[in-house]
Amino acid sequence: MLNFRISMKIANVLALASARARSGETKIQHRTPIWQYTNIVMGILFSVIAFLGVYFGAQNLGFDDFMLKPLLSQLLFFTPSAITFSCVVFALLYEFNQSAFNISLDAINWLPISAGDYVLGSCICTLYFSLPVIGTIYGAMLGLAFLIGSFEGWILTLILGLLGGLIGGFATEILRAALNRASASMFKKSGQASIYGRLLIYIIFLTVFMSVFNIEVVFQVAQWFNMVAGGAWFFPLFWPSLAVLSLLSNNFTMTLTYSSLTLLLTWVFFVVGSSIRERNWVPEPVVMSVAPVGSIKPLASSRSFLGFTGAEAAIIRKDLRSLVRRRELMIYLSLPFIMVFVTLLSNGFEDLFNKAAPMADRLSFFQSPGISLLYLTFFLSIVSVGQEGGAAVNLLSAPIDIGKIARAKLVSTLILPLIGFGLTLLAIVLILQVSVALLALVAVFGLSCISGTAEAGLIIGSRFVDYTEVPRARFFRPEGVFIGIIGVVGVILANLSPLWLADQWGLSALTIPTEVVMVSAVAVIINLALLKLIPSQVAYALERAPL
Amino acid sequence: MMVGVLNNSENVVISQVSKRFGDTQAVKNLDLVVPRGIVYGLLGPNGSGKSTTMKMLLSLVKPDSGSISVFGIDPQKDPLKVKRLIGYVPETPRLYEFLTGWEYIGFLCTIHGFNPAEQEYRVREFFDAFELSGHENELIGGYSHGMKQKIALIGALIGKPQLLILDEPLGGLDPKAARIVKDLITELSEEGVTIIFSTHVMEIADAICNKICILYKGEKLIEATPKELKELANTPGSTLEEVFLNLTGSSDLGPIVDALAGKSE
Repeated sequence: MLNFRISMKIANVLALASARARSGETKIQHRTPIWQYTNIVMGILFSVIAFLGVYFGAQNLGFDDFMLKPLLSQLLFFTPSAITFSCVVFALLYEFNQSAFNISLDAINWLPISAGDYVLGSCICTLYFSLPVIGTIYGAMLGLAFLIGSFEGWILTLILGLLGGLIGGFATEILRAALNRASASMFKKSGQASIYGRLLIYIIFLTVFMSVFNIEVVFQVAQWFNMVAGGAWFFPLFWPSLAVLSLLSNNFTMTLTYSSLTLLLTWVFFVVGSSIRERNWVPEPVVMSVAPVGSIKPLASSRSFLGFTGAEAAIIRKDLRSLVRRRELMIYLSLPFIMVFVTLLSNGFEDLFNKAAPMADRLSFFQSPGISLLYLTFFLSIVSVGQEGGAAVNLLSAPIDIGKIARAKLVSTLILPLIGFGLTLLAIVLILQVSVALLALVAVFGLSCISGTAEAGLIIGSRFVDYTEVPRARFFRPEGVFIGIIGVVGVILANLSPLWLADQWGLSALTIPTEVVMVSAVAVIINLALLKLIPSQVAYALERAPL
Repeated sequence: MMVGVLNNSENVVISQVSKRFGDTQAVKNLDLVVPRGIVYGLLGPNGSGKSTTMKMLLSLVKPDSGSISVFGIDPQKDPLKVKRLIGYVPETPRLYEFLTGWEYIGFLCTIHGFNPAEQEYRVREFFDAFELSGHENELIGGYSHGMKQKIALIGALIGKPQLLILDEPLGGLDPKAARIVKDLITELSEEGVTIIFSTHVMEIADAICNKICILYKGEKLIEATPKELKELANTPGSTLEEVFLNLTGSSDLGPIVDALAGKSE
């Protein structure tokens, strides 16, 4: 039985929230500087900016009450439920980046902290991470409320949004604790299929998450929700929104009812979360078997293939397994699916099959898969060296030279994007029936961009490598991403430069085969230059590996 | 067993080697000669430079000064050649947790240049001996610390190295596995394999080492056989632990233990 008086000691709760919030940092400061409260500062700052922006912006743009009231109403009733869902998704995402093995070793597990402390602390931590977004939303809504002189809805939404966030956080705790228990036994039995099953679930989950937070999709859902929310009383997570809706309809009895139900729901989620946490405290590292017990596969072949030595092939195989088996890397594998799905949701694909539409318009549909493949290539290459973590010592103590390691790393990052690119080209041929020359131009340009991105990503990932694994894997330093993106944009622009220059110089009459030759020449130069840099950068990274 | 100083192509030689990490002097003017085929124990308290010395032999850490020769090869000049001769178990097993135990050993065989198919029978024997059979297809992430240590040991032993560098290899092992490893070390040294071995457990050093070097704050305090070391204590029946504590200046631990136990004088 929970002892709430003890478990609710606020000092423990805040300490736990702080420990979780800080766990992404590279080093702990002796004194807590102001920027460690970044999310609080950003939350306040963003809310002020959003308030001022909406308040003065709407006035300058000449919006009147007639236009603003429906917008505020939609935002007010949509926000509490949105915060609930976003807290669930965010907390799950955060947890996905931690390995169960590392969590089980976390000191928090053997400190004298009650399950209630843990659950509430973890929930506060989740809310802490969401503060900038929450601050922006509430700031903007306050601006609208000021303009139309209606504050009661905003105040109720603020309170219910907080409760919604707590419900989301507690729901996540319930899910986490339950999954800790369930996944261990499920994965133990289901063999190889469980690995791909988990990958599939993760991709679907992230795709749905990103779709939910795509602005166009959100507005569509908001409009739909506005129409049907009145009938959604049977779904408890909508109660906070229904309370706001009732207030806006001047139905105070239902406002009070739904608000009370929300409060009750928050308490129920907390009690359930705490008791499940108490029963399944330490997450068991999942014992995953890739084949039935007792069956022995032959040890991997050491034969070379496609010009790669056995050792290079072994590293490539290992990195591909890492990609589909490590939870921390699955997010990168999900990127192309997310981007294509969101594009389809936002834009549709009617034009693609409209043979009357110009070829350039139809071809532009493939920009989204193309860009998503570049994202995939970039992130696979930037994590390639850092993902070795402490196990880099296996490569360092093996008789294999840096050149081979670098080659294997490059190839392992290229395989999946190239398969994706091959499928994209196939789709272009089948759907658009383009000429061979145009297909060659797309192929050369695409291949050069993908290989250039992989090379640039590997160089940047090595230069800004981060082998940190606990409490969560980091792979690269954050500044590396910004520099890497600039580098990749540079590579793509360089690849585009022959076409752009030809256009600038009035050479638009160039035949496609000529353009293919020009793009190929530039591609060779760029790729050779980048390839030359890779081994020294990989060596630089491996010299810094933890021993 | 071949014991004694031979020419340098037969020995592991560390000569006047120093290594500093920032303000910490990890190893200072260290001289060691490890003849081929002996079990050489590196003893010393935490931070005494044992692991750094081992990593320098593997070329994982570059010495600031001095020279190292592993059977006549300079690890800094020809690291790949040296790594082909060495099997290494680090202090903490660093394995690819997303691979199964079986896949990991296959991976190591391949990057070390062995044909895994030819090694399969030996791998199976190791798995059986260490009671890992039945866990071959499980991801290493789900293994216990002891199981990981066993996998690391198999990885080091599978290629029949000429030099085994074992940094606290018995940590986390169950008694049966620990016994197997100890017996294996003795047997391998009889076959001419050189073993450099670090441990904190004095009984183990006493039982299996032909020669022991005690390091303290990066410097060599003494190098002798276990028997010679015990004689140095000048007390009949004294243990290697007592000698170790005497030499490292920590023999009188009573006041420290009392203070920790909350007993004031």
